[in-house]
Amino acid sequence: MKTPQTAMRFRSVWWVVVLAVVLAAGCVPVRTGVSWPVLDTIEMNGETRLLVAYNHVMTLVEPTNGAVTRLENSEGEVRFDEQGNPRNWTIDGHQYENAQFFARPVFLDDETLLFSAYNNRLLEVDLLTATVASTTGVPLTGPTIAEAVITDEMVYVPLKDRNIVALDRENYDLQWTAQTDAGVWASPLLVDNMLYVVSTDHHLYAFDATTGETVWENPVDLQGLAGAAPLYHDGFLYVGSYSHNVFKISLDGEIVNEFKANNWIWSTPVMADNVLYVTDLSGYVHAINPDDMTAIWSIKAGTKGIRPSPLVTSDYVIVASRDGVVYWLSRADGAVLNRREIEARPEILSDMVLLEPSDSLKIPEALIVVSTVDAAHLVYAFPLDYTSGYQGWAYRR
Amino acid sequence: MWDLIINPFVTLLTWMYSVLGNDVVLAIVVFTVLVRILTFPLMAKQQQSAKRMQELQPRLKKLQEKYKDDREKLAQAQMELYKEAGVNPFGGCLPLLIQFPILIALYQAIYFALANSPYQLVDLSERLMLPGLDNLIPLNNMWLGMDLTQPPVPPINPVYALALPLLVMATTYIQSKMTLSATGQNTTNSSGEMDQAAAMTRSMTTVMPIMLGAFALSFSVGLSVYFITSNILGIIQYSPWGKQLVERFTGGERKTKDLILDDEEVIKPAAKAAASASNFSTNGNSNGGTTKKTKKKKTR
Repeated sequence: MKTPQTAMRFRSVWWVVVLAVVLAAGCVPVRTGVSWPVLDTIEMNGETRLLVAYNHVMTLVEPTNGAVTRLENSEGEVRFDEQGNPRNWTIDGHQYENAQFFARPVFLDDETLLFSAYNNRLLEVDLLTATVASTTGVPLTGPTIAEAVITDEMVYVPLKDRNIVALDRENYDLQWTAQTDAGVWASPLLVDNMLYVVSTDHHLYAFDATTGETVWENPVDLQGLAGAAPLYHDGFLYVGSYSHNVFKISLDGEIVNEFKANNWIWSTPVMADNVLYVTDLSGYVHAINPDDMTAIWSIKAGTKGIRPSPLVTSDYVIVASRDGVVYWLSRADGAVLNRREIEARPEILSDMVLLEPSDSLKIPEALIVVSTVDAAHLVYAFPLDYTSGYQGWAYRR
Repeated sequence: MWDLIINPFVTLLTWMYSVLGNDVVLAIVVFTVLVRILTFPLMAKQQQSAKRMQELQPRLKKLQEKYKDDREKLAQAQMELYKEAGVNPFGGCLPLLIQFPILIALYQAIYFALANSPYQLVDLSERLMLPGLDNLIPLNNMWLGMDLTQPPVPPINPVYALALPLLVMATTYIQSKMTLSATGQNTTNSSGEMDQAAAMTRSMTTVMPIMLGAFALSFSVGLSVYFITSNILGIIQYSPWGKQLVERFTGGERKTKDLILDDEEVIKPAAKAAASASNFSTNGNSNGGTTKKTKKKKTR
């Protein structure tokens, strides 16, 4: 039988546990993710699939309806497991030393993808069987959050700590290592055997792609963190940074001009018909004349920041915001023509993909595919022509 | 709503980082000290209130014995005792509850300011409220060879980083023990029993070091720095010097022991007590007339 003393002790322990839980709940930060999902188009057996990679899982999705792709053999026939069920194209990083995927893969050949993962590993994935060549992968000296660049001879891998490494494409032997003063969180840009690399140390570097030697005497000071790859267009590099600026930089490392946006810039600018389109993290979209870097128009589209690069088509500039909404803007003046909310309004941080109409894939019209950070609302496809009445599809993990 | 507290904290922490020579640990320490100073009045009140409640425990125990079969009368008599002694039974909890969001916000501010991944940094874009802080991002998060954004476990951090969770546990334990001592909750009452508040505080002495140690082991090194700093400040607060400071701060308030009343005067006959309780509930505060009639200083 419980004595009053025991009851009191029980109550006191109960209250301490409640307090501990409240403190724990409050102290566990809400945001614990590393990065955002990767969306990409992949050719498999001559047909386009969507690759969705986020945290520990990568999946291929059918662009027709958002269903997970069935594994097929080289004849295009569906594979079955021992129980006779069709096998899905999915890879779980937990089986490969806890690999997490935040970077686009590169193609080693028609049937082999190379993933740079967050667990300091390069993983070779057989596209037809959804298997990884080695469970341990190729070791790297740091985690990767941006996609590698591949050439006929080399694979260039940006590392989250501070290096960029060049590996032999055949055997992954280290060819050279180039160092910056902080992490490299963006994919390098390869132009004419020069590797342009932005670093979170606020600088843009140029390295000789063959030797890894620094080309510029001094890296370009971007006055703030740079997290997205530069754009090369017509002899100039365009890159945004946390200084709120988009810089126009010559190939010999001189800042030629700059445009002041409203907030941090974390997207690669997009050039279309000699107009530069840039998004910033206060929700603004800017159309800029690249010749003098002045605004053609600037408009606040999202109620929260816009991380992904804009998708520019012949009629629209399409942007996706952290407010969970996709906006269609007029290319002429930036006027908001349409908006589509994602269910539950999760943050959209990944770059979007445009799927062209295809008879073989039964995609009746062009689709915009967006991905959110919420696995329960992971991928949505909307018709590019928002007046068409086609509803699109959703893929939930 | 949390952002209303967190964002100014993140901004202030980042600003301190810039004025303190880009030293993030120094910024965390100074920031924690500042927050503790700002919340000192609340903490002093809580400390004082806990102590006064402890002083009333023998009286409350007697009431409990007297009215063990009538909870309603017990509640009335207890309320009367609190009024007479000038003690608010929730006086100890309220300052603690107010501090909770501040502590949690401080904790989260450190987490957000030390952002070290794309996901966290995108989030930081809407948190800095002062212009000119952008060029500080990302903050230099290396300290004594340790990555402040990572848990203190090898191979992510050197082995010696494991000393931090141990320090968190040790300082939390010492602080809890000193809390017990400072509020008189390390003693039992006349019948050798402990009241619930004391029992709870004692349980926290065991649970909190383990819990915060586990936190420190799982979360970033920067948060361990915060825990240790905060605990050391708590230890100072409950040290003899700190107690003097609290006494001086709350010195104008009445001392409970001077207001302790005779049993019979506090524990009124049921009818009187009911009338008094009725007055209390309708007025929403102490009824001066009734109180005066029953109040009598204990002669010593």
